[in-house]
Amino acid sequence: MSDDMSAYRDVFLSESAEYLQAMTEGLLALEAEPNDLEPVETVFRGAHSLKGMAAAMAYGSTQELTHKMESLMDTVRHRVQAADHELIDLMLRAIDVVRETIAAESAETGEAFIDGIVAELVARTTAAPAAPEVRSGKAPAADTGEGALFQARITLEEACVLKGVRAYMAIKRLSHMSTVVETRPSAREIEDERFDRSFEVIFRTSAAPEAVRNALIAVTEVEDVVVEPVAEPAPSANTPDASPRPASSARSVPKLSETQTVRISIGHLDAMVNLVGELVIIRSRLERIARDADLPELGDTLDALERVSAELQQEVMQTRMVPVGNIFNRFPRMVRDLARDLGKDVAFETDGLDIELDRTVLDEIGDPIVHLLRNCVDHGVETPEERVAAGKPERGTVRLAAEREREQIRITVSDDGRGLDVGRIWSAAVARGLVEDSARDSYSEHDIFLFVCAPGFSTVDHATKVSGRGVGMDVVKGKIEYLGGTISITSTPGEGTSISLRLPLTLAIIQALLLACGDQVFAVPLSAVDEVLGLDEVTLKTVEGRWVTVLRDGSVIPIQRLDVVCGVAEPGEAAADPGDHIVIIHSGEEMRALTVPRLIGRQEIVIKPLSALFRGLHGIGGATVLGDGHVALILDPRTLLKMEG
Amino acid sequence: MSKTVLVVDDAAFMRMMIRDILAREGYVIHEAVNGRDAIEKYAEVKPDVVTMDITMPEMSGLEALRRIREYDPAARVLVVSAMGQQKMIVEALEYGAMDFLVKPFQPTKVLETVKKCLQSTPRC
Repeated sequence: MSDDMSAYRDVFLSESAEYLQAMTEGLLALEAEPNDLEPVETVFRGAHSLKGMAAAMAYGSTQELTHKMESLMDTVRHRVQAADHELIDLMLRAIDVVRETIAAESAETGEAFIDGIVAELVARTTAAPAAPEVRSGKAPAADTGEGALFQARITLEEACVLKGVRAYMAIKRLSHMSTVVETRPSAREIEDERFDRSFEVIFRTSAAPEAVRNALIAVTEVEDVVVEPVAEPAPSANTPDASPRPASSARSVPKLSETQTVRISIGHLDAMVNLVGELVIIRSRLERIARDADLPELGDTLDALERVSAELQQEVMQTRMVPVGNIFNRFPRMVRDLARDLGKDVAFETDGLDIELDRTVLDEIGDPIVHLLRNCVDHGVETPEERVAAGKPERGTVRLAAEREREQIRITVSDDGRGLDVGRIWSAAVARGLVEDSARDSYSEHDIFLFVCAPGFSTVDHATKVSGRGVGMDVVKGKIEYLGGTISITSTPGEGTSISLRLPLTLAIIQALLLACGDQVFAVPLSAVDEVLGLDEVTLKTVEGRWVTVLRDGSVIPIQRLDVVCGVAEPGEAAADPGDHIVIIHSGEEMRALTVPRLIGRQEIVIKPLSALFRGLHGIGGATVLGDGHVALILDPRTLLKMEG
Repeated sequence: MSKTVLVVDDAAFMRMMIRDILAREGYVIHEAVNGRDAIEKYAEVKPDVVTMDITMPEMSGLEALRRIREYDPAARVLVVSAMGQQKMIVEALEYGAMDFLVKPFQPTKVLETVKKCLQSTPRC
């Protein structure tokens, strides 16, 4: 087995991570409900399974550590000691060390240092009074049987593990065909493995000695059996008391993972997405050929191809979708530790754990969410004293929820803490020169909250170790925007703050509206397009020297010429030429109208990262290859809207 | 005809190991992920031998062993356990398990035990 052990390593690594996660969740559940035995079982079983798996991988340190964790949890299971905060802390720290140990042992580099934590676990385990010894097994019956008296000397194999149980098995087998009178050493000593490799059983049987021997030698790991008749003794046998068998320990416990799954490396999935992307492109190219050459038969086949490739694409994208729970589940531990450090009492709630998100997006949003949660615990939720003084429940609540909104996902991080202070943020923004104080009236509350996302912005007088250094929210905002998402903040003083992140479900393939400006084709993500209008449907006028468009509902939106925006034409007098279309796009809460010479239509596009040449071009977020092989630039509404009209 | 083995373990890793060891020798392998699943699969595939992990979610190996033996007194079940579970193994043997394997196991030991199990007659 050792030669192909590496083949098992990946499975071991991913499965052990699941067990550690389940154990962490179990410990947190246990901390909330100290009398609930179910999480105790989960944690115990996790440690137990990990121990077995580690042993199979010959990861000695991991095995030893998980064994000690199992022993400690066993005392909790048997209600020998209670799972107080210290015990849960200890177990959580042990889980951290297990992670490191597994990393070290699987990489075959570095050393695992487990002595400290092992000593702590052992100290805590033995601090409890010894668990009551539950003896099991049948004691030899009194010598009331028929037949002659024999002695069997049974020798177990050198490599035999659990000799006590093996001996028990042999004695049990013997008892089916004879009456066991006595064992040497005593039954208890045999069960406790207090013998070397051999033990003796005296029994009475009417069966042939050879048959007895054959039955015994057939027992696994029995190396040798010698059966001899013995003289009838003066009847005084050493028969220990029979003791009751432990009751069946069947118990319904929550399942760890039952779905039938195959693990696929993310590299394969990325390659599949790329290939499907190519397929989508080739399909569009074929469609164009069929149309140009006017081949209706090919058209039918293409329809079929389109259906199949659409389904394939859907399936492939689906394989990349992972439930947000995969990253959300590491937050309860973090929030708990943080709240304890800061002396806060915080209940953490999550919702929508099964909402699925593209793997790439999910990987990217972990850090931003961590930051937002930290802000909630550190700045949002007040100390228990402050809360009581404010007439709120002592325990604050931090909530992390995910929900699906059509092609987007919304992740909301909220707390019921002190809320944001609009006045203070405004003053800080003015003090930092981000805005003129006189402009106060043109800023909505929502706009003002967003100042906290400005680089270096902070209203906190002194930085704590957790947050308040004024770095972070700008990074969060940058990351979310990079992912094509938006951030919005609502807050009520004294009632709490809620920050919502809106993110696309997937990054690789999007629906886009294709526009043309001269020879150059542009694509706008359909999610950013509000409306496409004819020139005759709007009114154009200038306000303070800038062109705006007035929609039918009376709203006024700045308007730009696409050809000017993308540098094809110089800014001229007219906001639009005859025959132009008006495309209304938005980014976050802002809107902009674009005048576009030609609309091509709606199409799925595969986003390719821009080459270094184009990177940094304002208004352009990426590129895609069209059906005819031409490259279309993807407009990025976010940066586009920042450009002057 | 090749013999069928139902491998019951909640850890995919362990199932994979046992499966690899046995499949190489021509056994046909079925898998179950907990006690409850084992009972269903047992009724479905009627395996010649069951390797049953003891500590599992949903339903423990002991309970599954008991129920399988109730359902089919001729069932051949091996319990698989870790060091330190002596008492559970003894209990399993009381319930009619034919033999036991201790993790971590040597492939030869697994093969030998399964083979022995197939050769001996279950005690009803």
